[in-house]
Amino acid sequence: MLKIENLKVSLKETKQQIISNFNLEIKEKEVHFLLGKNGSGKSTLAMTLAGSEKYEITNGIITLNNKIINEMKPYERVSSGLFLSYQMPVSIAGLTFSTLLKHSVNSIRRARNLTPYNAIQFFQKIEEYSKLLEIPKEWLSREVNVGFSGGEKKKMEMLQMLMAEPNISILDEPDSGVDVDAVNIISKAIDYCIEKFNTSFLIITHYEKLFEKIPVSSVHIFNKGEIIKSGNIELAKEITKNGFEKFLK
Amino acid sequence: MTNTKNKISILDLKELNIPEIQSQTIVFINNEYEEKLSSNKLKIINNKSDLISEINNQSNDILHIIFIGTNETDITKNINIKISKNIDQKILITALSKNKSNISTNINFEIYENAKLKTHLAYINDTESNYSININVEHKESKSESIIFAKGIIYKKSTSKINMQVSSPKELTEINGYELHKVLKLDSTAKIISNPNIICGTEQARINHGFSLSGFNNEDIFFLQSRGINTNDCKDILKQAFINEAYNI
Repeated sequence: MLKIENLKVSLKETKQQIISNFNLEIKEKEVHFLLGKNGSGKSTLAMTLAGSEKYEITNGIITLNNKIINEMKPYERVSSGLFLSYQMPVSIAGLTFSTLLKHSVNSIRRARNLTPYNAIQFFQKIEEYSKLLEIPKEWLSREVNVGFSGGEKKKMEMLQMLMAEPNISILDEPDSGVDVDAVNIISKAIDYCIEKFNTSFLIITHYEKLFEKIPVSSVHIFNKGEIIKSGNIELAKEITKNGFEKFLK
Repeated sequence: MTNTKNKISILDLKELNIPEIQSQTIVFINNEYEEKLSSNKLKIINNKSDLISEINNQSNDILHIIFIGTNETDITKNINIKISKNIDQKILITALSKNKSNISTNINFEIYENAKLKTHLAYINDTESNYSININVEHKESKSESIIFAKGIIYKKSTSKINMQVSSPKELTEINGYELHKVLKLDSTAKIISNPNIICGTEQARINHGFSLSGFNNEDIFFLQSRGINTNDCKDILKQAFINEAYNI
């Protein structure tokens, strides 16, 4: 599924190294949690995997479904099965969610050699997923993330994820700034993807809220651009109780 | 009075679509003139080159004036519109200058007591074309309001001159005016001259103006790419989104 070997990443502009030696393998339907303090490089890792040009891979190989994706454009990574849910997605005035989703899903389907959805198929999918995520119909005719609360944005990110039918989904702090009901809905979306699309997850978080809701395959502590300890759910519980300090010494 | 729903999808606005809006529309294509007025609200007093109108009946219809220049043609138009007492009028102006054409327009508004004018301008100035507009709003009587909101996309080696003037003589009271001009510049050789002009004789007026110029936002492009959309399509979507704001009147 997703394999990251000896990854080193720098900021393109300043050449400052942020990811120093990152190794991780995620297999089908596995859910990995990446925990770390602010500024440890978690979001940089997510953006790099998604293909952001702000970052430069100076060493290492990222393999997705046995294909090296280091040089792939962001949209090619999506059609190859990788999805990124943002911590703080951008707002785009003048573009409705409905238009965005139509472009998104049909671009992905064309790239995967699948027939694009016609209007009826598209709205059927939207209706099914909106029901699952408790998204009111009128949100689809609103502009992308304009005037949405933190929780509403995260729900719409989940809708975009479901429409993309990913093999691997990277969720950058999906549970930050959201209430317990929204966390429940996010966990429903994760369960649905695992069940229907065999999706694997790399979930970046600070909180324990999600651990209790979904099956955890591995927990990793991330510091200064590398994984310093891996374990199971017990490791996550220990961090929740006592913090990171013990592991950073 | 009959309202007409005009879907102007037949007009090729360089791959941009004019959203469906309820309006009465006047179209100038090169030097042809097409009038699609469905009511007696506007009195067309003059000939094809100059348009003089007096709006003295209240309706919810938007007046949409469209200028399209193609194939190296020159269009020069003078339009004078009088907004009578107590009238609340929305006016949309769309201008597309393409294939080295030149569009030059003077639009003069006179606003009378307790009248409100909201004018949105959407213009696209294609490669090596020229677009020039003078919008002159003259507050003739007290308690009147005017808004001019312009959005333009300018291409390689094009020149755009946008003059927006709001004036009110010294004896008037309770005057409100607002001018805003936003430009999406797609090439460094595109030239924009934007002149906001406020001539205010009275102390009892509140008139503001603003201007912004930018290219594509890289974060917006990356966000759309990370939804599976290729770079060219991302740019088309962002152009459409940018101009859509002008049609939200």
